[in-house]
Amino acid sequence: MGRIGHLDLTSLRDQLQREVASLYSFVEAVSHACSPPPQAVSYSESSSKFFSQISLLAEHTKKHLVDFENHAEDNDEDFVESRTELWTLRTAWRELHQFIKPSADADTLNQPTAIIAALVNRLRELRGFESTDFTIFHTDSFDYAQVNPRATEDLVAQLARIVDAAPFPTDLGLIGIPNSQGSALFLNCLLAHEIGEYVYAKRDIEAILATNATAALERHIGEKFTGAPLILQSRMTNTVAQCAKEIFCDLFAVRLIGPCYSFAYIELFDLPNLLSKDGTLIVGENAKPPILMYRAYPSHPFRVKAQADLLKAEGWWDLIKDLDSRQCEVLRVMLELNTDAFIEAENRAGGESTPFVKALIDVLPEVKNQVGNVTNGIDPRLHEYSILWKPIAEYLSNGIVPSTLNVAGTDGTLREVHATPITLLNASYRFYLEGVEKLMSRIKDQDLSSAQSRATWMRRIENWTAKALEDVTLLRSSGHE
Amino acid sequence: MSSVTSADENRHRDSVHSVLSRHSIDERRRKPISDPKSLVITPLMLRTDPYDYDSIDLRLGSYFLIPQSPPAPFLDPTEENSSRHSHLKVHKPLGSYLVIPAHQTVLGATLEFIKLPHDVSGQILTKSSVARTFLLIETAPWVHPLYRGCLTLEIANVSNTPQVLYPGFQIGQLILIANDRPADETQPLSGAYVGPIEPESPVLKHPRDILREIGVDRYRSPHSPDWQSTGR
Repeated sequence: MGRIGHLDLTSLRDQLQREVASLYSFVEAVSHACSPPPQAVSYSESSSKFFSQISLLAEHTKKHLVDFENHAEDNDEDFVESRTELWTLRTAWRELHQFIKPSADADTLNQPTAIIAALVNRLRELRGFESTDFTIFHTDSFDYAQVNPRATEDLVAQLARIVDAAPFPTDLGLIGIPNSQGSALFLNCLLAHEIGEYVYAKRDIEAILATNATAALERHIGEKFTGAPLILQSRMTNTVAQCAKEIFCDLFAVRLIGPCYSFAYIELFDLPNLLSKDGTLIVGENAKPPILMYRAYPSHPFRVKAQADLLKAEGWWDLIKDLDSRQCEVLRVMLELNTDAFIEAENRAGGESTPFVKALIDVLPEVKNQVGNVTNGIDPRLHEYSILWKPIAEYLSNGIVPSTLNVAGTDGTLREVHATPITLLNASYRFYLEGVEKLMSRIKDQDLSSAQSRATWMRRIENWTAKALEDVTLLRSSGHE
Repeated sequence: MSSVTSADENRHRDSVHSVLSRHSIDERRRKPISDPKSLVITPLMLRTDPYDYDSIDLRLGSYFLIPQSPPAPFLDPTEENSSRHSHLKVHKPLGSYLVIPAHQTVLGATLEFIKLPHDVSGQILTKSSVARTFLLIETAPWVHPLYRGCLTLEIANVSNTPQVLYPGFQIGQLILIANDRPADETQPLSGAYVGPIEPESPVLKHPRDILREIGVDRYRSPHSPDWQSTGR
């Protein structure tokens, strides 16, 4: 019997077999969550597609492991190669592990199916994304997250190649939502940003913006940038490019779904706190959040400013500026704020981040240009909104789901209209922000000073909007326009 | 209170408890919602002709409440969340299905959201083709004027075999009946069930409050052998 180091061959073979078996158990355990679900739980088609793919990969991996030749008796090179294969498989499954159970938790009762369908259908209006879909998973932290499609594709493609399985569909993205937000509606408008990240990665916009960021840094830092070690240059470029990416995704979201994205953004980050009692912007040390850039992201005020500027350029601002809400006031003060204020604030704080903010401001035109390119031809639905937001508000204030509207035409005759999801979202969010008092005044024994009562009816408005989104999707797919 | 003119009265007297025809239903559906006589039924799949001569078909929605044993040994009206704990909420998207075991009842809701006019009541009946499979929409079939919401359906499988329910299938038919006097649409709506879009657990009134209203001084809670005051 031969010996390898201090092991004999039989022992080495056995130990490798144990390692293979360990990996087999690991894959079995990881893929277990994809087993056919109990009857009480339903999944969206995209989730089912994801689970099928994982199950298929698991089956192929297990079959591959059953047939695995451990090369214990072969030369060192073959041995190392085969052992590396096991390492690669385990790494891939460890990566997949983080998405499987969180995806299984996001059944249709625990994900905002109505708005996801609306957003996906909207994305499909863009050239090159006609068949895109997303599997939703839950995140434990309060973060919306998009998994870089290129990274997962590469990883899964490598796994699939080894175990001889079909690779993942390239048009299936993965998006995480905070596990508490599965049944919310309006806050989930933020998913449009994550869809923007998917588009950003798919269209490889990073390469373009990084070039612009490098040029901008050269302008603002000069020799300190060009003379710095390459790794430092790359880090600085990445900082600006990362900030530009966030702005790209915000502006993409605004182009995709309109001001409801900004309302959700302002709500999530509690930005009405930027306003004093009289509605003016709180600046300086008392500002919470301050307008200073964060370590790797542009500040919330900077991002809202970029959104407000786009809303104005698109024509949305004229349609929403009279909205009776501090959400809208935040947009107004940001519109009035000069971009130089961000640079001045950085200078006052020591000036360390000033060149980055200046570079980011320089890159903004290219960001807008790229947003325009990928969303080229999309109808922002401004005209429809301008006609239908009042009827939608009237339906909601009467406690009625606004999926079929009787609207007077220019000749005074009534006709039946089904608003598009984008108009429904924007008009309903508007009513959610300014109309809950009107709704509650129609209901017996409601206490406007009670947060609990208000929350109940705000929840109802979300439910009616979600129902309307589902209804209009169904009506359109059944041929009712 | 809204005033009712004598012309209105005559018109209502003429139509006392008349069942609305397809024509009248359609006519009311086309009124603006500011008109108290307006009727809303949405989404209405007009391509499949949901009307009968004197009724309109309603479809099954996607949400269900399935009875389950609550954490407490019984449904307790003195416990605020008791009724909520007695059901398991389930969502079945269009295209998927729910199996109801034999002799079990589940709560479902109509796919259609409805707002009734101020002068019309409604009654929902099981569609005969459904009833012949021994599935019944049980009890509480009456809908009051000015009601708005998806209609909650108590769906009972009274057969000896499990049955499959597909959301989106026609399950009931709504009969609309004109009343002799319209309800006052200017009065605030009762809040408990305004605008549900899915079946909801009942809002149980505390027995103490109900008994106090009818002059009972003392009551017993299931949790305590002692008699307690109703606060009368």
